[in-house]
Amino acid sequence: MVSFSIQNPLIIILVLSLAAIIIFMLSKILHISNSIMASLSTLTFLLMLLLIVFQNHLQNSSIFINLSTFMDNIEIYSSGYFNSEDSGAILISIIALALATLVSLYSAEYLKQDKRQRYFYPLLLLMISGFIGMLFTSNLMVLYLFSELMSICTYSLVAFRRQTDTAIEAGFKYLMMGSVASVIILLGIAFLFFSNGTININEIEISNGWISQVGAILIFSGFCLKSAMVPLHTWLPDAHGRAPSSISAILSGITIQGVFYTSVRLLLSLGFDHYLLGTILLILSLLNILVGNVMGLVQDHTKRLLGYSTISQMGYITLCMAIGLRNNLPAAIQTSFFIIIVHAAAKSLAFLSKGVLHYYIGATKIKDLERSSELPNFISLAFGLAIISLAAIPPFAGFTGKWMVLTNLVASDDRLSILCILVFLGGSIIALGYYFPLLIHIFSQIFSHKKKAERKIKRISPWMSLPIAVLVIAILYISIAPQLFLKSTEEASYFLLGMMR
Amino acid sequence: MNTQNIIMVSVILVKLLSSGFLLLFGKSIGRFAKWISLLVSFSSFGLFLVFIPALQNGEIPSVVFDYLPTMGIQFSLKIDWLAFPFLLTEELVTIFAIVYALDYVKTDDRSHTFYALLLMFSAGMSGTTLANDIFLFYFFWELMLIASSILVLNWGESEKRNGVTLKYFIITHLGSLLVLVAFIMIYTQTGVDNFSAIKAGLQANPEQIPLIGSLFLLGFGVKMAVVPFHIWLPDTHSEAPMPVTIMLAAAMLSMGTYGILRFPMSSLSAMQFSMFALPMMIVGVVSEIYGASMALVEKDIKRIIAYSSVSQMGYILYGLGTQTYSGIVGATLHVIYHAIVKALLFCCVGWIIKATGKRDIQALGGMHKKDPLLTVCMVLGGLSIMGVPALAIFNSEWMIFSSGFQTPYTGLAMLEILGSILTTAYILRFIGKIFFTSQDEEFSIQKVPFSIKLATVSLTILTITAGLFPKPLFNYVVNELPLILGGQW
Repeated sequence: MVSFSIQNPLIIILVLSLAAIIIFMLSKILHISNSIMASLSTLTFLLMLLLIVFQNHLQNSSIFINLSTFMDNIEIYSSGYFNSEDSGAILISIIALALATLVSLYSAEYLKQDKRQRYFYPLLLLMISGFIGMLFTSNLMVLYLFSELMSICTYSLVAFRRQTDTAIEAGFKYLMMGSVASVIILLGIAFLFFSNGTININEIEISNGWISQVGAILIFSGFCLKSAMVPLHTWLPDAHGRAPSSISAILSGITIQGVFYTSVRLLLSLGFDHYLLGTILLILSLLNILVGNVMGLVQDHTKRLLGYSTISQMGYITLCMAIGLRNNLPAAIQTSFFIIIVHAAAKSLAFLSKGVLHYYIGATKIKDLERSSELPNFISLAFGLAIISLAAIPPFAGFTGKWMVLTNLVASDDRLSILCILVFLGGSIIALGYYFPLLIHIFSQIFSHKKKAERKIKRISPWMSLPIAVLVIAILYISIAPQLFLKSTEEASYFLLGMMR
Repeated sequence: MNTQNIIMVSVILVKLLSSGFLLLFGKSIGRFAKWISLLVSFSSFGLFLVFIPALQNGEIPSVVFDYLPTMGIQFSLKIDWLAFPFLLTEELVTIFAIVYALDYVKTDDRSHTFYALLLMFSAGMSGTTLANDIFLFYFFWELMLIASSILVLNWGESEKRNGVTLKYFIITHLGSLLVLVAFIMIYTQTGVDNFSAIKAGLQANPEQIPLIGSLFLLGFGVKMAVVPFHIWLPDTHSEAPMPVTIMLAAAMLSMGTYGILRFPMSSLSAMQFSMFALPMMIVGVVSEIYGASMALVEKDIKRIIAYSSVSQMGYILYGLGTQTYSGIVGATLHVIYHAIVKALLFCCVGWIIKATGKRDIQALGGMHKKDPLLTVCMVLGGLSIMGVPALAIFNSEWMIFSSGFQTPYTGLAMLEILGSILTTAYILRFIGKIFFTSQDEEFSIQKVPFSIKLATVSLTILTITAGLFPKPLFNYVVNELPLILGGQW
């Protein structure tokens, strides 16, 4: 798991899209049940995950070579459009595929009551395939197409439970803001194409005039909206708070971070000044930390609160990235990737266990968490673990991340590092103010006075408990042995820095 | 890995593992949870005692594991003479707290979690004193906080417990963060997280000493609960169930002292540290007088003793601030004696509350006729905290007072001594009102369980013994001096 390089990301994208079509057809013709659809999509995601993780071993197998040659022969899909060496993208797509595997497994039970599951799995598969395409591509038009594929699937998934007004409202808001972002990105691409005559990222020179510069800035701001940078974050708490929990897990856990990574990678490879980019990101990150944490304090819906927590965590990720770009520090960028990993595990665990609480006892508000005594303690403990990890309380995974952030802030001789340290520490204290009540509500039930016999404990379907167990193990594993993850993140950080022109 | 290493790791591990065991399987063996935890606390104490011969031979037993080699982060444990007094305090207090809890906490569906968390709390403190690298130190430092918060949150004695826990957690966490920033500033200088690197890191950048030193003192000051960082203490101590209060007041407060001795005081020379001396002495005197005055006007008997802790921590900070031989030894001895006496006083308060069901000092009175044994224990404890000769605290208070006159600030030393009159006043009010005045309103007293009596009486005996025979303890504590302030004494 040390060095990654996928022969051709297109294989994954095509398989996922094909699977989407096949599952949709099967459900239309054979009316297969929800759990079969879930199993099929889980299987697809799992296969693709294994393909990435073990691709070093597969590279030499004849099927793989034939497949790659075949793909290369189709001109329009040739690997020239994709940068398969991008280790940051590989890391993020591994996380995305892993989360998607767990989420589709989870949905087998979670979506049982819904009527329109037939649309869910194809949309999820298409969303992930768009996401992976967006991560790897080195062509602006392809980038636009894949990011639109991802976004459109996301809009529909947020409004998946369209029988409720809130879901429609959140989805519509997201659609409106996202479309504006898309238009801005398209405008930026047009500017770049106008001044350079090419849409290949590696051939574009943005130092040749203000039109290119404006184009780059436009694309960046479009992506800022899609990655919920304050002040363009307003759609996120609604969208992540109203979407089905399984979708929120993936949206909050990795999508936002992937979009953010893409925008940074894009600007760096366009030749945007890394110091200026770092400064812009620094300001955005401080805003994110402050707004995310302060707004989190006044929430009374658990999922909206988790949405604001995502905004603040995006702030930490961006902060490290900014410090790394301003001072050319690989260690800071590495930290940013490490937080992405930890946050993906913790946030998706939080959303999935919250989904269980919602599914079985209808808990939506924070004070409803007290009713968790009707469920096995396992769920409350998992939710608590996720929250403790997000709050970066040692000994759990989040703390190693926090340690690394502080180390980088202190080590970098950045002029703004004192300000950053103050905001970071202040933010993490404020964050305790909303994480702690969650813990109080959830833990006060575990140790409640009630006898076991008096508690009517509902049984949790294994479809739901399995993904949660996997995530719990993942968090504990990251807590105990972070060393393994540091290696892959280090590679990604050097790759990103190497992209500077 | 030799036997000594295994023993050192198991001082902590035996508590952590049995805590985990109780959390997982406690339901089925609920009745035995308390006996298991008692056994564990005794065995941990026994394992710790094994190191005394080695320490006396001049060895420094230590263990090292790699954790994050690329970042220079290790897991390493070490026991030296500086850790010794604090480890001793903490291990002793754990035993008494668990003995006290045996009958105090009624055995029910969740009592196994109580004992598991108590052991985890205790493991956090042993780990804090044994840790030899900042990552591990911080890890255990926060484990201590988490375990104690969950205890207060779930076994708190009134409906205010959620708010009190939030306040406790956030304020002490803020202190921890200040310490963390100081740690990381040093860590980035050296890239190694071992304690030995702290001295090197600080000496390499002398211009950072004022900043890092103040971060440490502020951060550990929050844990010590000196004025003005004491605001979490009275609420938390009065809210927590009595065994947890004993652990908090007698053992956890001393961890702040340990932090000050371990980090700023061992890595700076006397010259470099002298800039913090006067502020520490002033804060010490202010805490002493403020805590004692609040104890004098407070009505809730548990809060009275809680404020007395603020006052006593003032003595300790003052002693450390004098930077003299007797001040530092006195302060360290005071940590141990204060732990014993404060545990005794809280045991007595718990006894009073258990017997009468009242916490308001106005509603109590005439207890000396109703419970002579309690009266003896309480009077001895009270006299001891007043600093009456031949009882525990007298020796250390003597040393702290005398150290004050070795500094140029004689005025502060006078204030310090005069301030101790307030201690006498609140203790006399406490004992006089509760035991020796008649109460118009007659009230009956309940029978008090045996374990509460056992813990109280044995602490009383310990108080007398420690006061009469200070020599062995004194000889142990003096050994820490070569490690502090450059070792020039």
